[in-house]
Amino acid sequence: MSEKVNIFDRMMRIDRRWIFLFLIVVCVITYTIPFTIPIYPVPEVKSIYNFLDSLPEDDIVLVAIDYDPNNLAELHPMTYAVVEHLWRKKVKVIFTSLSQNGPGMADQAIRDISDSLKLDRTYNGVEFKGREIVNGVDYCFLGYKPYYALIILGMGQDFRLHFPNDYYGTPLDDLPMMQGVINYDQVDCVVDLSGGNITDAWISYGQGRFNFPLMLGLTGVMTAQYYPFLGSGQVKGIMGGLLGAAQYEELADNPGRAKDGMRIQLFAHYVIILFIVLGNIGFFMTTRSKKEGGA
Amino acid sequence: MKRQLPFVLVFIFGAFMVFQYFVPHESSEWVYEFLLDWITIIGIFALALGIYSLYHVSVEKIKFKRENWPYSYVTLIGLFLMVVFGFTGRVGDAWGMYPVFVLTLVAFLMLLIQTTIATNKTLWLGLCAVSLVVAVAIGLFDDTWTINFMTQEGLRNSMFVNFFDYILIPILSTMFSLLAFFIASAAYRAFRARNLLATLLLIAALIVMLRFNPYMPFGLPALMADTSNWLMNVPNLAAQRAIVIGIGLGIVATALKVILGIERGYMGKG
Amino acid sequence: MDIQTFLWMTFGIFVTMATFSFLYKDNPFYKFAEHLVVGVSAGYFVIILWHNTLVPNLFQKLQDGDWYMFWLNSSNPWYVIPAILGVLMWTRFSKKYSWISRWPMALYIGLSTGIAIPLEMSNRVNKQLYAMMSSIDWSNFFGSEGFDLLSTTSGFAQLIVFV
Repeated sequence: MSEKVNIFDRMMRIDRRWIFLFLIVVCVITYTIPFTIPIYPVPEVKSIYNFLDSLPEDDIVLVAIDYDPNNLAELHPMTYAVVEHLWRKKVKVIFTSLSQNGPGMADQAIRDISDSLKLDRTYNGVEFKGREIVNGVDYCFLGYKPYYALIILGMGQDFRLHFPNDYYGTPLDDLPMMQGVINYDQVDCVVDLSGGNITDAWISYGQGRFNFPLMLGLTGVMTAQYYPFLGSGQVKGIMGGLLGAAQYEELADNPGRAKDGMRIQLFAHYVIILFIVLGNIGFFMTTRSKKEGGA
Repeated sequence: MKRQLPFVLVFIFGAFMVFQYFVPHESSEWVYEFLLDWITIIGIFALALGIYSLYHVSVEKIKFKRENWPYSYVTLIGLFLMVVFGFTGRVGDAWGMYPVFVLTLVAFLMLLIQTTIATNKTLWLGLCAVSLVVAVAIGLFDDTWTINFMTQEGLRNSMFVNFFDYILIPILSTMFSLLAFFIASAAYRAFRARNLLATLLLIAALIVMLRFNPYMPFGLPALMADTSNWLMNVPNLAAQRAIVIGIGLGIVATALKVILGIERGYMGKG
Repeated sequence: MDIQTFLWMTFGIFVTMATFSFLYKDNPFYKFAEHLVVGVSAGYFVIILWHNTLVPNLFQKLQDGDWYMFWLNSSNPWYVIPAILGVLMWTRFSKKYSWISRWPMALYIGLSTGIAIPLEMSNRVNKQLYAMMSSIDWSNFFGSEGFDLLSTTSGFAQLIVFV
């Protein structure tokens, strides 16, 4: 009897380091075995994809890279999926990053995606020829400014108000794609990929004041907070966490980092659920034996 | 003057901004644009305070040998190197940059030795100074790299980019990923079906966690997906909406209090 | 892969492992990574602030010729005012003159609160209230289509939880 109680007691009090170790081992194993899991896109992500997919050539989309390396795992895949989709469709992109370490993230993403754009690819049955991505023609990277709320308002007046130059120091007027682009009126929509409060500013100060279509890419933990804005139509679509990125990749037929990550996340969830179940079994058995002992 | 003027300023500018929102006349727009531009410039100087205080704290730590003080050298050297690389650019593929880099690191090591284990402190300080001087001399007279304060070449400097890509990104993203492990262990501890509410929490969490799980029999995946969708769009949305409205009212109330001078805590004492 | 990338990647792996080692317990490797990232990120911020904001938004607007001549041939001499106000922020470090730093602070706080009031009211409160009220399909109460309380589209269920 006493030994039985010990086992359940132990199930309730597993040292966290064993959980960490088990989690790491499972993550590494699933990472090394390549297989894909089916992804079912939800309407929130579909609406983003459909909107961006319907844009004609040479239109402009503002992609706000408002995250630090902290949120790289969840938000970088979104950037890659969305920007590659836009560039394949020859839509021009304006990048901003209003987060402190954001410019480096945007810089890295631009370098990587430009490289992959050089290859010929077929997505959803449509063949896309590889092409060279040119700064100032296909994209413009505005860079970083502090005090995001004021910058978002300022961009609604004129991009040149706060960004006389782009990130690399070229005056905006010297960039071919920025000719005649004054403010949000010349931009089709804003895609904000963010891991913090900047999203609130985009909703209140950006969409609320200038009324452009706003789409959000958020980290998993933030996602639930922004559903009210989806319900009220202030936000057109939400990509939540790695799952949202994987759904976008699924829709764009461009499996990449997010779909890769999903299988690891799935098995990590299994591990967590396993431990939760173990803990609950231990909890039930110990409380029951206590009751029996007491009775 | 010392106390009253700030409140008057807050009121004037706050009231102007509210007024401007409702009356977007050409002249008020002009002032508005000007203010938006100015305030960011003022703000930049405020941010410099933060950087200075980091520097100050690190130096104090070393000075008074507080706990973990040797690591403050790591902080300072990281700061220093990043600033150096940000203001310099490399011409062509030459290696001119690297002697400077290596010599600076050597100087740092010598300084570390000097402050910790060296018996002949002046000798080590001298060596450190010499290597720093050599580094600066190479930097000044080697034309394979340039110093740019007013142009943005530094942002394209490969060392600057590599520092971001191979130091900042791995450490920051790994630090955040540690959170996943702690959440796993916290979930194991917290999700116990102790009572009805805890059981509800447990069930909702399981459904949301399993919502994209394809390995389940009898069309359960679709059911899970639908249920989690409902959870997100109805109960969650409603509760979050209450929070959003509450926060909104809170922000507006606080802002009004600030403008009207009722809330004065932000000015500090004195 | 050239030798340079290889070395950088090795260092990247080293700092990643050093950070992960915190899971076992706090150790010197983790402390090294932690302090390194604080320094590097502050240095990065200095550079980004300088190149991306100070130079284009202040210096280039002030200066057309040499930097020490800006007051003679500046195209935009008015930008001296925010620069001075910004420098006044630094009086915080002095006990005697720290009250001066309240002026630029007041300017900043006044502007940001003034901006916030109408926009937060309309976007966080009004639009949310409107969305909640309008998503209730009142015909459910009076029409003949039946009472669909808990459907996803029904705002009524949301209203109940909200209340």
